[in-house]
Amino acid sequence: MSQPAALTQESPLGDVEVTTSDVERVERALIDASTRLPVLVFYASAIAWLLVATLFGVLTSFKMHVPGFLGDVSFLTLGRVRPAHLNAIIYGWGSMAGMGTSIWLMARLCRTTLRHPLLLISGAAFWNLGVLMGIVGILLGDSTGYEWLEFPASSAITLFVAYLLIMTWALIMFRYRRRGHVYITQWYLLGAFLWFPWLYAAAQVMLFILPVEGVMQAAVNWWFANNLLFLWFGSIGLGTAYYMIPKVIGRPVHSYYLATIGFWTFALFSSWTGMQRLVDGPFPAWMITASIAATILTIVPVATVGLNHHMTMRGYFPLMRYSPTLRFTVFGAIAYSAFSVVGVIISLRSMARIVQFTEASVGYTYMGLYAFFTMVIFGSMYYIVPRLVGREWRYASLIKLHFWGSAYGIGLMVLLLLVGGFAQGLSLNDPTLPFSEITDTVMPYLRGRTLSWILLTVSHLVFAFHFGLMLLGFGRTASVPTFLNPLEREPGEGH
Amino acid sequence: MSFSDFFANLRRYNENAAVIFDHAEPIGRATDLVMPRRRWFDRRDRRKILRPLESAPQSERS
Repeated sequence: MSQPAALTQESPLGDVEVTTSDVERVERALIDASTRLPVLVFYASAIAWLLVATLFGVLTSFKMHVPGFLGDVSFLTLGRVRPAHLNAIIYGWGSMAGMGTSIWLMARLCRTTLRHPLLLISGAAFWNLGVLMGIVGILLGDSTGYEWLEFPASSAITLFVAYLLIMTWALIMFRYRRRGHVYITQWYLLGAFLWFPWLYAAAQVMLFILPVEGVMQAAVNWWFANNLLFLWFGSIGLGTAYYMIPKVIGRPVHSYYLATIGFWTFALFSSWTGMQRLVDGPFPAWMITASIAATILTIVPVATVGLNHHMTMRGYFPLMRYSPTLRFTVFGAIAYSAFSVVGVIISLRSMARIVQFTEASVGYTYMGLYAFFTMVIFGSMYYIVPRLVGREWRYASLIKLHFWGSAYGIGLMVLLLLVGGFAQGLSLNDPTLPFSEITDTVMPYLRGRTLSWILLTVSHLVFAFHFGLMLLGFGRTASVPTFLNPLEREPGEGH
Repeated sequence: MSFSDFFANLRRYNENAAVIFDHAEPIGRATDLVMPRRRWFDRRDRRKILRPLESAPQSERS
C-alpha cells in the first residue's frame, strides 16, 4: 500500500507575519477613526466659540478704558458684552474643547471603539444651541445677573439636557472598557463628568428654582464659579496633562502613587473653596475661614502634581522645542502651579482686603481658565487632530505664532491685572483719594490688557485658520513626523 | 505587612503608570516630535541638539 501524500496547508496570508505592534496600531487606528466625527464636531464648535469669545473679550477690554465706545448700541454695552464674553469662553470654548479632548482620551484609555456616536453628536448640537440661546439672551438683556450663570433659564435647560447625553455616553464607555488598570487620567475625567452636573444642578436649584435668600445667593454663586474652575476645568486639564506629557516623551509618570494622592486631595479640598472671594462680607466667619483653609490645603495636590510633572520631564525639557503638544501642555502645567500659589496668596485675609473687587480677581480667573486650562487643551488638540484626520499640521511657523501669541498675551494680561489690581486695591483702601483718581491709577493696566487681547486675537485666528486647513484636508501627508529630519525642508520654508 | 512587602506593593502600584504604553508605542519612544529646528541656529548648535535625537529611534504617528 502506497504512503498517503503529506497534507500541506498554506497560510491564507502567505508569508505575512503579524506582530503585536501591528495589531495595536490597527486597534488604535480603529479607535481614532471611531472618535473622528464627534471629536471634530466638538473641536470645530469650540474654536468657533473661541473666536466669538475673543471678539467680545477685545470689546470688553476696550470699553473698560474707552467707555463711550459703541455706548449707544444697547446689546453692546459693557453689562451685556462682558457676561457674553465670559459665558462664551466657559461654556462655548472651554467646555466643548474639554469635552472633545475627554471623548478621545476616554476612548483611547478604555481601549474600545467609540460607541453610540449619535449620543455625542446630539449632545454637541444641543450644547451649541444652548450656548447660542444663552449668548443671544444675554445680549438682548435677559441675563440672570449671576456670575458665570448669566444664561437665561431656557438656555440652562438645553445645556443640561445636552450634558446628560454626553455624560450617559461617558458612563457607557467606561462600563464597556477593556479590563485592566484605570489610568489616573480616567479618574480625573470621570470625576469631572460627575462633578459638573452636580455643580450646575445645585447652583440652578439654589439660585433659580428654589432660591436661597439674601446674601446666601452670593455664597452659592461663588461656590459654583470657583468649583467650576477647579472641579470641571481643573480636572479635565490635569487629566489631559497626565496623559500628554508621559505619552509625548515616552516616559511613564514619575510616581503613580503620588498621582493618586494628588487626585484624592484635589477632590477633597477643592470643593470647599469659593468663599475666599467674599472675605469680610456679611457671612458667618466659619464659611470664609473654611474656604481660606481649603484653598491653602490645595497646595498639597498642586505640589504633588507639580513635583510629579517636573520629575517626569526631568532631562526631557529640550523636547519642548520639537513638540507643540509638549510645549503647550508644560506651559499649562507650570501655569497651574502659579495659579494655585496666587490663589493661596489672594485668599489670605490681609491680601484679600486689598485685591478683592479689583482687577486682580479677574487676572486670577484668567490664569486658571486660559494660562492653565486653555493652553493644556491647545496642546491636546495638537496631538489629537492629526490622529483624527490622518495628516500632519501643515505649518510649524503657524504653530509657533500661535504659541508665542498665546503665551505672551496671557502672560501680559495676568501680570497687568494682578499688579494693576493690587495698585487699585491700595488706592480703594485710601479714603483720602477721590474715586476719579483711583480710576486713573488702573487705566494704564487696562490699556495694556487690550494690547494683550490683541495678541490673543491674532493667535486664535492663526489657530482657527490652521485647524480649518486640517479639517479641509490640507494638512501635510506623512506617516512619520516630517520636521525632525534635518535633510528635509518644508516647501517654501527656510527651516 | 512588613516594610519590604509595603514597598514592594508601592513598586507594583507604580507600574500602573506604564498602562498608556504598549508594543507599538513603547516606553522610551517619543510619539509627537514634529517641530522643526529654529531657523537661527547655526550648524554647530544644530548638531549639538539633534545628535541625541538622531541616535534615538525614529518615532511614528500611530
